[in-house]
Amino acid sequence: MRNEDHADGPIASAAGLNFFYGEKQALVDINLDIARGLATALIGPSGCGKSTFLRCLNRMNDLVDGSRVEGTLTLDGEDINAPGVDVIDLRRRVGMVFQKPNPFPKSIYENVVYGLRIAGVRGRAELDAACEHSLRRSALWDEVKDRLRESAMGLSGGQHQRLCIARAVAVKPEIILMDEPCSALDPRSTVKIEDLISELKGDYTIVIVTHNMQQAARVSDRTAFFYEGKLMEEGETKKLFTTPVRKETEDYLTGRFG
Amino acid sequence: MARRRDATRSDGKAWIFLSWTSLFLILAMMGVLGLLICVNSFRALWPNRIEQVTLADGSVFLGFPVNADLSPEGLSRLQYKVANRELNSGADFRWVYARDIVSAARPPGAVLVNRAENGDFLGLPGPGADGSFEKPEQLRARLRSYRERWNAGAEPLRRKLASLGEDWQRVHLSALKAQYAMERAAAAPAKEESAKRLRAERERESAVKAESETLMGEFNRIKNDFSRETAVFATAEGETVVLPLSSIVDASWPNAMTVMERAGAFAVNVWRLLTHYPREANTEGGIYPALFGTVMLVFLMAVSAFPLGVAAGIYLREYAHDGILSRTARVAVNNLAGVPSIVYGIFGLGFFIYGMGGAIDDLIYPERVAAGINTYGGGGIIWSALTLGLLTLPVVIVATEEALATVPSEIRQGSLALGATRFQTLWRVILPMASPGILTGFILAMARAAGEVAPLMLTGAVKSAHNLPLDGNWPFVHLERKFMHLGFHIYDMGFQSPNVEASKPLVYLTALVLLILVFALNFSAITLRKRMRDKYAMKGF
Repeated sequence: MRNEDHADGPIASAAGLNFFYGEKQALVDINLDIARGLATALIGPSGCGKSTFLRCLNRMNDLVDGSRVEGTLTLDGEDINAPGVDVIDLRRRVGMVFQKPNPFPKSIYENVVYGLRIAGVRGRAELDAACEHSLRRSALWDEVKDRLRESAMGLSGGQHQRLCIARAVAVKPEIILMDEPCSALDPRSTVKIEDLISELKGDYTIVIVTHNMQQAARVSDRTAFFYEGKLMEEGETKKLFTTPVRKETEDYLTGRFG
Repeated sequence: MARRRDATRSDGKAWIFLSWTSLFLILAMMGVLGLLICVNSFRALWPNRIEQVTLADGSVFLGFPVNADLSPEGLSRLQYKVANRELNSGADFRWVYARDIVSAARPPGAVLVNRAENGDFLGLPGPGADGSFEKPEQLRARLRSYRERWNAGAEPLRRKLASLGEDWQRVHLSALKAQYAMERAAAAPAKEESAKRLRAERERESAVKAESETLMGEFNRIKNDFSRETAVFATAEGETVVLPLSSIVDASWPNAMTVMERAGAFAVNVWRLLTHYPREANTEGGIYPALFGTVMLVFLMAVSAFPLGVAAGIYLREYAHDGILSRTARVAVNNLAGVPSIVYGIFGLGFFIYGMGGAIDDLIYPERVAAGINTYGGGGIIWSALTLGLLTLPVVIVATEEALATVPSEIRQGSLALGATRFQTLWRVILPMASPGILTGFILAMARAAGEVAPLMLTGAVKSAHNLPLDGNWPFVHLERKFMHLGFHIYDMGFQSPNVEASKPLVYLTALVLLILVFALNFSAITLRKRMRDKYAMKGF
């Protein structure tokens, strides 16, 4: 499925993307390229469609009854909404971290290797290596290496979220989607997650939805501003934050609404 | 406005008091019920002292005081269990006015004999042929030796006879089958073949019968020898009573017992209750077959209802689209939970027994149907279990649905976002998390079904079934057999018994055993739920 011709181009790109929840249109004619290996922040007021766009990328919106998508959304040049696309395979390539940390009520180890187990990986050594690698990547290894067999429920909220990142990293996705990953966390945990995002980008393409504009400025290379289901403006984070082109962007950035 | 607020405040207090009172009343009623059952059960098992009562008219009798009340004229009177049914024109109990009692003594030699027939015997040591009195130790030793000799000499023969009886039953049925085949066969060779088989079966049948008759003769001879051994007692009036040792289940001298001995006798009584078969139309003996039948019934019910109910609940919650059909199904399931259990019994009788059982009989045993013998087409433990399973299904389905609903949607999405299929998500994450709720609901439903009687009366519970649905005879599990059940046993002893008064202690005991069984199920539900919760706890959610 991977298309080598696109190795240098955007990893994902939306063209004329419309999205409907039943009668209600949530996304209107979105044209957006997600740059490979960078962190892209999606910002905008509540209900602007940024989370909806995020969930289009791994087709989590399929779970919503009556949802409908128009236009094209490609991953490595392949239309992910085309008939015959294996959504299971898509979700392995596009991992996701949710707003509320949602570890499974299993051991830490089982949480991390869950994605591999359901993909049919059985080798003990392979699972162990993936577990250690993922936990190291998510800066959790030193904290949990002595209690991998204990329930993940005993960890703190910030650790939960890093565990969820480790869980997503374990299946080696190309893109990791993050839906306001720090909104349920305290400031110290937030710093850790932000450091982690900076750590991970490069190896992974990261798309992060955030309400926190400082956060977007800190962690992202590019930023897209959504407003009322439309993509208003997209560009380099630094540029968008200092010299926004659209008036709505400026109003939002300066806190006139939000 | 201010006045109104005040009014609600005082109303609030009244409400709290009312709700407290309701709770207290409920607890008090439950406490009284439990106490009543426990006290009466204890009295039935604890060896009571025998009183020798002398009345004003000079008559004397032995008995256990069991009850006291005021006669309609306002006179205090006492009820005694005097036993010795065959000597008292069939009555085990006797009321006497307190004012008629001259004296009540507790002779240490008073003996209580549990007999295989005619209920208990209460008496005093009687003179033997040479005029001497047998001591309790001597009689006890004699009883022990008698039992050992019986177990060595007669018991194997009795077992052999019983198994021969089963053999005969089997051979008889296969002869019936051969005969049926012969009568139906159209072509001459087939007829010839069946006739040959029939002759062989008939030969086997008569061989078994002959062997059984020979054995029976021997057994009767041995039994006769054994029945010559007797023990001599006397009634309170001094009449000599000779009891064959074979009729004595147990003899005890409660008036001479120390506390420790009584406790030992109590333990023995508990053991007998749980392991002995009933005797004398269920008024004496134990409740073993009823206990066994209940446990096996609940087990079969669980095996049939659990997978079905959980699967249906999963489908309704996880897969069914929220349309008219699934909503109707849900309403129907909820309403099913309110259908009276006797209606389930009628359904079980009509659908399972006459329908499915009848079809099985027609298909597999046409020769038995022709001879008017039911196999699956009559009441049986399997049909009762399925009927009860049907009765618990709604509860299981609802419990499953509710348990699944408590799993947060974030968890589902987390699993799906990692590339899990819906089934993998369900199997690996959601079901383990929902299992405490599912199991709790199921075990509570099971506890309810364990105490259910009405549907069983129509589908296979009987007052007496000496052949258990699980035994050592091929094919070991006899699902088509009728069975005994604790709840039905209570009904039978309490209301259908020829001697209600005598079976009263057993009614209390059976109720206690059933209650313990139900409590044990509930307790295991609570323990299981706690363990599962610890394992799949959702801290942080």
